[in-house]
Amino acid sequence: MDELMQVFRQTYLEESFEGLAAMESNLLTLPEGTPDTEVVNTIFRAAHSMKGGAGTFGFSELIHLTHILETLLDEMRSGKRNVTTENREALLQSVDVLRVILDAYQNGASIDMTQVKAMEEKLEAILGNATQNDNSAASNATTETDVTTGYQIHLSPSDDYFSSGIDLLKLLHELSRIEGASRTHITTHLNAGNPLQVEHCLIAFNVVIEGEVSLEDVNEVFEWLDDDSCHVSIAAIQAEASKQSTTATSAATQQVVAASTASATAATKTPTTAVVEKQESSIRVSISKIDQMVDMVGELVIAQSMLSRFGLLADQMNAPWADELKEGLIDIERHTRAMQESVMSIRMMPISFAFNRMPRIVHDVSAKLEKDIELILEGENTEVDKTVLEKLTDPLVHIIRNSVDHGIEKPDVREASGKPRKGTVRLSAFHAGGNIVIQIKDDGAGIRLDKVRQKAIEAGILTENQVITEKENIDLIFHAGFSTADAVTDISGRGVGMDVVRRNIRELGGTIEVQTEQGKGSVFTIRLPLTLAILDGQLAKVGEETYIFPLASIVESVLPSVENIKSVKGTFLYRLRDVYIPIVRLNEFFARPQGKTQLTDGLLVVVENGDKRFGVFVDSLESQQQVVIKSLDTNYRKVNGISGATIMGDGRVAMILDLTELSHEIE
Amino acid sequence: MAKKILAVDDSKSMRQMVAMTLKSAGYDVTEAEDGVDALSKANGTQFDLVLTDINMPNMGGIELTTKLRALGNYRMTPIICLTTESSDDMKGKGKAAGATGWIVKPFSPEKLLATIQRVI
Repeated sequence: MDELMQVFRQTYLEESFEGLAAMESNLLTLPEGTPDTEVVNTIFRAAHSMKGGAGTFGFSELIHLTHILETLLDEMRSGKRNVTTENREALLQSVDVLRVILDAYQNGASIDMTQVKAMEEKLEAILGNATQNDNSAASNATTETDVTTGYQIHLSPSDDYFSSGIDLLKLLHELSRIEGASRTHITTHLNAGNPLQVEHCLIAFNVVIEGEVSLEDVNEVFEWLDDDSCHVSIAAIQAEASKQSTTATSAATQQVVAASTASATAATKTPTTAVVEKQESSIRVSISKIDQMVDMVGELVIAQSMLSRFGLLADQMNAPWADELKEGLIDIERHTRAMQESVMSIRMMPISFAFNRMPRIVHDVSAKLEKDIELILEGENTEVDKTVLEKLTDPLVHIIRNSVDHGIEKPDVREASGKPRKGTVRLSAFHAGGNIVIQIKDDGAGIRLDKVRQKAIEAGILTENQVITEKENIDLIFHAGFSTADAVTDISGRGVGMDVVRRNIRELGGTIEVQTEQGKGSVFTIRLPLTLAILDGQLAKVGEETYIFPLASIVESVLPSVENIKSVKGTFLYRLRDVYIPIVRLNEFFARPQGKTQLTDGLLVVVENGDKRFGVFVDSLESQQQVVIKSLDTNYRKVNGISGATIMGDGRVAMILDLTELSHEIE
Repeated sequence: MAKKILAVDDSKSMRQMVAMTLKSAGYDVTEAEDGVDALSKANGTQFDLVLTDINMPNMGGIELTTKLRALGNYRMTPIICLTTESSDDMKGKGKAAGATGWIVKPFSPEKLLATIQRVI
């Protein structure tokens, strides 16, 4: 049963996390004033389920808090209490506290009871009465294990007892088997006076149990039984045992009754429009198993591309079986690709997992800053890789906080500048090309470029007279240790912000860009690769080396012509339709002196990285193919300009270019 | 033949616990996630016992009990309510609807089993 209990506990935890999320999102939409019964009912039910399971599954630290929570919510749904900012905030806070407790259970960490106690006290203060402490009072009878010489039990079933479906003989039999019972004596008698009716129960029983039996055991037999369907009275036989318990519905049960007094009224009003959540049937699989599969599929892709060479070879040899072989290889390729896609899709999760945290953050922060802000979420169902999702959440939180803190103005300021008092922050996700794009757009004041510049000079990032472009000016906010807030707030942190945001996003192979317009607002655009494990690559040769470009970043490739090449202070620029772009030579960058040196002899691959465009000089282009990214860091060490490696069809290793790092070379 | 039990609870963990506990004791358990679900399942099968939570979306345990009792073939079937709500008021409603008895949450699997074995 212990192992099973673990399973139940896990289910309980998952269910409770879901319940908390439901409570939170409903609390956020709960208007003040007379409670919306539907919404409150949903919140109530989540709290109620948590409380119900807490004791059963041994989460004792939750019991009291969920109980008070339930009482408060019950008062709301039965209309005894209005929704106020104060109690809604308190409810939201208790969601947080519960989440902390559940997290602690989940991770086997210890629980900070002072926090829990403080929350309990807060809720109790709102309730206005110290709730009876049900725990301590719960056991007048249950702890009473005085052993007497026996008990006399009178069972008097109600008239309609026969229709209840309960077998009284079973109970009588059980009484005789109570531990310590040496002798059981049963007498029956008819309830006199009532007219005899065949369907009515007119019989009553007197049971005498002799022996050293405990009252608890006797009570337990009848505990579940509704008192009205069968009246039970139990009396100790021993003369000196003065303690008597008259009814069998034990005192313990009654204590619980007393403790949850208010929870009765509205329970029968079942909501009519409540959404029935249809669970998709699913199984839980550990991420490591999926990653193992991703790995194996990766190997399969490599093996497949190795094999496909033999198709060409067979063609060249005019082998009689060449066609069959090629057909088979094409099938394998198709299936491998399909398999790869479906395996990758297992790791994909809707971005709503990250987005769903944001309404709460906006709510809390804007309340604190006395701002009126609406958060609009778009494209929550856009799927992203689980790893991307996990690493994305913190940067998103940070940018959103920034938008709320620095971006959106206070209502009065907004009104004065002719804007609606309510500010808007729009968080959207969508697919564009081979990327996932996430945008955070606010209609706030925009970033004050002069202020940014000033701060940068103060921080020593910039010299007084340094000339920078507007773009560079904006990008200063990504500099380590930079913060524009006039006063350091506890909302946007202490300048450990945007640089970390950009680093996290770069680690995911993504980019972040900012556009801002004074007085109109700012847009943060994050671009991320769809998946981290497989890349559509363009192979290129430089001497003996094979390099791989991420296909998505290639704009075009050109045969350089002499008249368009320009040399400025030792670096080469290429004029591409009236725009000069810098040139990176891979053999120089990686200090591997091989391959062509004359620009006119080779090819220029024009790539775009973020908003930078530059040319990469290579000898020639080879095929395009999907490559499985293997980490160079874990297998060798970090190499500047290389984001990873892959194993080619012929077993050789090729390097995947990190265009972001290459672009730094140009700066 | 194993006795058939219908276990109704909107909480998955609770339902799972009840079902597994009773199944391991040889009962034939069917799960339902609310009153509506339970009623449709009870229409198809004759259960020997119904265990139901009180507070559920769509249709709660009290309404379920009333509706089950209105079905001819559930007039004499024991219906036990599994609930944290055991106020006298609620018990009154349960009794009026035709509930046979109560198991008050929290309870252990052992206690659940012991109680069920007393009933059927």
